[in-house]
Amino acid sequence: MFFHYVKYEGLQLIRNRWAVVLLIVFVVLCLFAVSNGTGKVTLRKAETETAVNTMREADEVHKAKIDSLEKGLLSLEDDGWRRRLNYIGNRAPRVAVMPPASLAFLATGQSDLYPHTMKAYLYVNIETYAASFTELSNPVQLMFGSFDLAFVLIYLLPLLVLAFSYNLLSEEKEQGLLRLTLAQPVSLYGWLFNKMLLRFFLMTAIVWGSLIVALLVAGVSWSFGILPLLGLVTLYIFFWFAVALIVNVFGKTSGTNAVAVISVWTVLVLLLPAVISQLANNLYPVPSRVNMIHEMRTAKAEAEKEANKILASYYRDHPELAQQDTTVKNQYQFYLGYFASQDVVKKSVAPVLEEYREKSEAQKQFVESFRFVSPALLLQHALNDIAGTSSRHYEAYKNRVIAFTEEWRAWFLPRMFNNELMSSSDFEKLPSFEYNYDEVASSFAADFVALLVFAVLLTGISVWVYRKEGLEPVLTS
Amino acid sequence: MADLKLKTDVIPNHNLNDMLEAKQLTKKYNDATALDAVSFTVNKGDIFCLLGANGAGKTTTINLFLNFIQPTGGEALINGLSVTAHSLETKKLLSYIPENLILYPNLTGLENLEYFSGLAGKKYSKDECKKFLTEAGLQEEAHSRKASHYSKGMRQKVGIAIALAKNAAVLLLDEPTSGLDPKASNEFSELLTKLSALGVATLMATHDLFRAKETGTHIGIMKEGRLLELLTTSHVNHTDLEKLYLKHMN
Repeated sequence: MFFHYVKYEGLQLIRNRWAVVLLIVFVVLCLFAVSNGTGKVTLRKAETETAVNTMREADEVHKAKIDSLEKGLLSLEDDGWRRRLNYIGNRAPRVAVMPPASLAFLATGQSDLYPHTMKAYLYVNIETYAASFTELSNPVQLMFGSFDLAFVLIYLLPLLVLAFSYNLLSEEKEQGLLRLTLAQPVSLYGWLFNKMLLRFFLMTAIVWGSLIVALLVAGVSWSFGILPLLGLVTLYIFFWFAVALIVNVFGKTSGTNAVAVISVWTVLVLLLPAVISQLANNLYPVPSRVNMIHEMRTAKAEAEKEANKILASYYRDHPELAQQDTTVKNQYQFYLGYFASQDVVKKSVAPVLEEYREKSEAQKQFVESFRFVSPALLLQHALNDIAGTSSRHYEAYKNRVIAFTEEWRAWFLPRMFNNELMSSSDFEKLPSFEYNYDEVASSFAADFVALLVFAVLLTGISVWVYRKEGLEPVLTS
Repeated sequence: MADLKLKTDVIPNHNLNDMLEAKQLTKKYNDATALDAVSFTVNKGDIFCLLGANGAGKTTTINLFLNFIQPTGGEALINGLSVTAHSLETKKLLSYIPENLILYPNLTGLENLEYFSGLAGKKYSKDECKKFLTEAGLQEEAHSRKASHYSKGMRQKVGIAIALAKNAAVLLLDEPTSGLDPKASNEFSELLTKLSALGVATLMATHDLFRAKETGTHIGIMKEGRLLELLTTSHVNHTDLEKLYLKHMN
């Protein structure tokens, strides 16, 4: 029977140009969104490439100078400082890059709020710790995001689905066709469901086609990462058709249906996300970032004043760092005091950081668990996850950078305590940074299942409403 | 028309000729009574015309036979089957032509016929469908034109073609001739007579006393939800029918 509908409904959809108009509109939207998204990713790549190249060039310069010093081509008196470890550790910092994930263009997510390159120095750089704690946010941007594919899929796609389906029943009723249809041995629900199903398949085909065309045009390399995307979007489309199905089976006029579907869209796509975001801010306020940085700076200044005293106790705690050749004075004496003080700095700012981290984590968890109230939030979450632009990814990146900074220090400090110098062959031994997207657990399964539950639940509700309301209000009102 | 295969095995004491039967059919909306204990039967080949003013309950009666609304009391039977209990089975037996039959404007008359008879579970070749349309009086060149260009009379012919394609045993008509020009109206009556000869039982709501007398075999006069008079058309003449009708209306 479904194919009977496919044939004759399909003919009509082609003849009234709905399908063609939808296809064109959606392809244009997708192309625009993908070009926006890839534009941002290209910019991001260019920035990180520049940072990495600058680092490499600097490395080469340092290496060449040290090489000359080693070969006696430069005088130790004039250029000897170039081999000092504190100089290299601070002047040739490692660039820690968070490269875009392969589908980063999909959703801007948090990518316009956080840095993608950070540097690991020997000294404590407060910015590293504060990096993922941001309260900078543009409310309009938070509300609508950028014009990326996520925006098209989350916000605009439901509108197209609803425009395509809100009056399936009411239109036929108003035209007077419905009575002739229902005089045939078909159930109203079955008839309506088949019509919806056909439109769902058509819409899904249009969306898949548009996405694939947009990706091809954008020159995005293919990966299996696209399959979860297609799966999620398909469920999301189904969900919105199910919304239209419920609204239709009440048997009201097209005007009433239009108001009803737009209300549902407003609540699920605009209102709930805004309310949840506001609630998260009110229930779990994150302390001021400015205050946090101020507190960290004060703690740092205090600790640095006490540098020499701290160094003495530092030696007590780290006897292994005592210089082996005690006949010469350690040339890094001043810096060693400074570095020892950095540990104290880290310890003293830890409570500030921890408070900030806890509050922001509570807020994140609140927002994450409340994503289950709206499919729009679920899809947003899932798309950020696929694009690698979620706040979790940036937090993981920040933590990774902090850990790497420790690694960087750990490479230099023992050598400095031992009064060593940098040699040209050391450059290859320097630790290098790698960001791994797998560190953040994927939430795809949870988001997918939740969307599936939404879709099935709403279809169930439509059956229930149909049983409860029956034919009479549909045909007589 | 091909042989009518009717389900008779499930109905005890069912007279094979009773295609349509209203048994104490009642419909109330809150306090208002739209239909009050109406009973009648329509046999094979009968054309039963319901006459009455607007709001007399004619359309309500037809809606009840279509199971579009639920009776408050009594029952409507088609070929002995209750339409509420056997909604889909009874709809296989009937064909319905509303007062203003609307077709899908983007489909041709032929495609509309294929679509609706397909919903009824019938599959025909293009030629067979064209034959039904011709039989219903739709001129050949209109078959492949979009229904948006059809007149009311043409759309009703497609309605008749659907009835032919469905092999319907029962025809429910709601003021089918209102708004038709006299020629089209006459053509339509001839079609009904043709179907009647094939054994189709017809229930027709109408305002048109003249048509009712010309084509109908039986006439029921309704007022305010009640069936006041049951007549056999051959037993009354035009003048008497009109007098009787006006007597009841005043």
